[in-house]
Amino acid sequence: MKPLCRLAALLVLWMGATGARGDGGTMLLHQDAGPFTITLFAAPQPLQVGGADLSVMVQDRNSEEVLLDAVTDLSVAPEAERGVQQTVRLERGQASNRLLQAATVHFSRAGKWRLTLLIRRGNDVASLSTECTVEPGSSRAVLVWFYVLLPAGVILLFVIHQGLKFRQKKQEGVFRVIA
Amino acid sequence: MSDGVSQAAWSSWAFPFWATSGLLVAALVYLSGWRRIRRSRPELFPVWRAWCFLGGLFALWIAVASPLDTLDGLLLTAHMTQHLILMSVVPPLLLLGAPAVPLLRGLPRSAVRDGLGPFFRAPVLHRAARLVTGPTFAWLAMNIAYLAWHVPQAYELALRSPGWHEVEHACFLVTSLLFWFPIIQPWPSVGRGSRWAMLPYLVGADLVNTGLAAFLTFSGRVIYPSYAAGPRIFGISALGDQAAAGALMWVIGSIFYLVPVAAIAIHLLSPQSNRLAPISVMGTAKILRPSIAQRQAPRFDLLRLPLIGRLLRARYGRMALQSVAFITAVLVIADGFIGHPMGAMNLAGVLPWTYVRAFGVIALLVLGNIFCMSCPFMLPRELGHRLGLARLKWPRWLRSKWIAIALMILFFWSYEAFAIWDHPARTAWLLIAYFAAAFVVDTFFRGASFCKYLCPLGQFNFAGSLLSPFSLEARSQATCERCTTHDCIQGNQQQRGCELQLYMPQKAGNMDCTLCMDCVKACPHDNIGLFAIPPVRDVLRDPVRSSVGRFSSRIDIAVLVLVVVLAAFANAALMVGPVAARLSALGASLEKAVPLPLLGLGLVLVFSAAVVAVLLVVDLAGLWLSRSDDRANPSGREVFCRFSQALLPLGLAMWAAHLAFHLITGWATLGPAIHQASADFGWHFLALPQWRMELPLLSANSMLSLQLLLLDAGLLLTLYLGWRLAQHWTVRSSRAVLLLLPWATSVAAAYAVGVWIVLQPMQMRGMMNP
Repeated sequence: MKPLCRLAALLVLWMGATGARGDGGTMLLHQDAGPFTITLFAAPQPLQVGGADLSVMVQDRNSEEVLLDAVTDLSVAPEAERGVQQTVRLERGQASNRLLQAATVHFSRAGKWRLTLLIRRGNDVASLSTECTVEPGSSRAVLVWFYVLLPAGVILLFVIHQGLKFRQKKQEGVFRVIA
Repeated sequence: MSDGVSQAAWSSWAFPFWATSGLLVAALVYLSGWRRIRRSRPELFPVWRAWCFLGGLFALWIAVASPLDTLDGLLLTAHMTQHLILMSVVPPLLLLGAPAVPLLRGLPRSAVRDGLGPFFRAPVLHRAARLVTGPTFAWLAMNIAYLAWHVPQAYELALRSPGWHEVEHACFLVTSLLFWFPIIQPWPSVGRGSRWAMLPYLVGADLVNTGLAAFLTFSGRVIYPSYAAGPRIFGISALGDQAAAGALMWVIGSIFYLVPVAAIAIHLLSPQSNRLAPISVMGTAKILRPSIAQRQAPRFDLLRLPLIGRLLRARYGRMALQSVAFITAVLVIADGFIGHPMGAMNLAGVLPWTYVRAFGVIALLVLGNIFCMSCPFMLPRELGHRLGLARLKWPRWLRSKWIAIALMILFFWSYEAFAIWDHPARTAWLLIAYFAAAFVVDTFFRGASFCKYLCPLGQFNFAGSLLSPFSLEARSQATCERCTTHDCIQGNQQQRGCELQLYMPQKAGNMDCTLCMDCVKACPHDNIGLFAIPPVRDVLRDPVRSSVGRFSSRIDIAVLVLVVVLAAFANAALMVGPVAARLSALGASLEKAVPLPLLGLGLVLVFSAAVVAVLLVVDLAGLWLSRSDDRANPSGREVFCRFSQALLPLGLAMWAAHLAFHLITGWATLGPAIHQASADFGWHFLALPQWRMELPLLSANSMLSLQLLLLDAGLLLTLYLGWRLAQHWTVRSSRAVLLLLPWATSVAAAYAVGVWIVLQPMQMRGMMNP
């Protein structure tokens, strides 16, 4: 992509935020693994079918210092079909909170999913897994209902507005007659 | 803690788009109103007030965008600092800016008078405002909200859910604004009760704050489980973090309460009070009402802007734009014939159908008829004019939009029937046909006959520009009345006049205006500007328009608008799976009896006629329901013409929602298509294209939000126009409702169809995201 295109896309990306927000969310896992302490956050909570932000904080197990140079890969797979697996590299650039590494993961179906983290830093390697439940997506339906009901709300406000205007005009007319 | 971690923490800014935009708009509106009031009452609004208000907005932005926000889930200290800013820094600063009057004066006058006015005058609102700004209510509201949100269950809920977190912050901000209101008494509010009461008011709040802060500081256990369970950063334990947060609340919070206590006490004890005298409600109204001089403030004129204005007014300004468009069109034609056969990889498939269409509609909505201004088809037609053969007048009986309407239907039908978007060579032929038609017609006929009576694209833009926010108008009617030469229409030796026969003193709105700027350049008095206008004005007013007449008597213009609206829904519907599948099945079953393209044309004509007929019946039904003897009822023709035009916002919204989908999903296609075209032409100064998948600019939910928001805006504007027209035709509101009801029902049905369309999976049909 050309630099100019990147610049033009910046504003729209800023508005739409296709990428991960990566400023945390709810904690899914906080566990020691090898020389690391790993914390995994997820948003939204509960996880739903569709895109989700997953972020990880990697710390030194002894000193609790945040390790910014650790390389983290996340694999997600439905429990029912372990063979179907997607792996993403978590990036610091994707996270608003620069102490975390984040990525957007797509959960294609509801049910149990297995999340596996592979962390590497120099010669140190650690891996850990956890399970999470993905619920059927309702965010799209909520979105549609919100935008469909929005005009109804505005129309209601407008009806009140017109009613007030009508009443005030009527009162002004009465005052004028009295005067 | 290493420098890297510290640096990473400090660089954790969030930049929330909507909050940042909202705060910027608030700042601009305030500054605009503040400047206006300062002209007449500088003593009321010194510079420090503006600084306070802007400082308050900046502090609010810091609270929601800085690392305080991104770290609040990990550090209670960061979270408490954020709350302190929201409750003790932002509200007093905003209120010291005395924002009520500047914000109202910064808004358009009509929006305040007609939009907000009835609410502000409502007694129930006055009573509610009096209640919530009273010291008792405000004190209780702030302290209850403060304590309630610090109950562990509520606090954890806010930490778990971003939505509840925002509710929590809004609660803190709003109740704190109420709390600080009686203390600061922002002008023009009038203080109630004794100022001495503010001393126990503030001290009481400080006691509540001290109690909670002490509890957090001295508690031997972590109160909020999330902080105990989460990772610790910066080497602070969860308990240490909690004690630090409590101490911060205690010390800094107390300073925010006790400093005003001291200030108020000193002020009350000082011999002379130098406070700003509160003024009466009538006084406020006087300030809100602009003076006559301010009411006649100059309108915003785009031609007065330094760069854009000069380009538009320059002798060869339009020609420069047209030349760029012409060269682009030539390249598109060439690539259409010799380039890649796949539409999505060819300039002829990408440029007109993904980019130009979308930007054309966006330009109509934010600026005006920019497409006609830079129309490439007019450049060779200038050559035809110079041949001197243009002696014929366009026949009087053809001076309407009917041929253009037929051509527009033909254009939309051929687009679908011959899949023009997917066949670069067909797009190229279409462009050649366009150039040839413009050249031939304008070589033999005087004026801009092609633009005014034939061009389907031009008619689309003329109809769309009825909602554009800019219009060419005379700067001073008096100057026009004194003018004897009428160069704007007659032209002079240096510059021709308006070829579309729009006489400036009687020109109203944008119908038939190509923004060619000929009138601007011809006017010897420099009396024509491109003024900002309310976007609904063209549809609401019905004066006798130069060369157009009254809209209420132009059935052809009404049908033109209906075709634009119908095409918006039809064009989008044909892209969605269920409709495409049904049509394919219908085509397959009837193919033996009727050739497919003819079947399509037949369907288009029958569908268009049916919709127009239904709308006519709907309008007449409304007219019958609302008939009365109060006033001369409008004719069926007038109701049909003007109600049809009122559908335009919904139609343009559907176009925008549909074309935005293409633009957003195929936004990165142009670069590779240019590289591909360069390779196809044998020009090797550009590298070979890299066709690869890019993510759309917006996520699926954001895209859907944008599309639904556009449809919502279109629906509301259409209903508003309908209501205003119905009110204009009837005396009583009940009659207006009856007149509107059938028509509004059909509008709601069209909106429902639009929502259904954007919810369906859309085919890219030859367009793709590389």
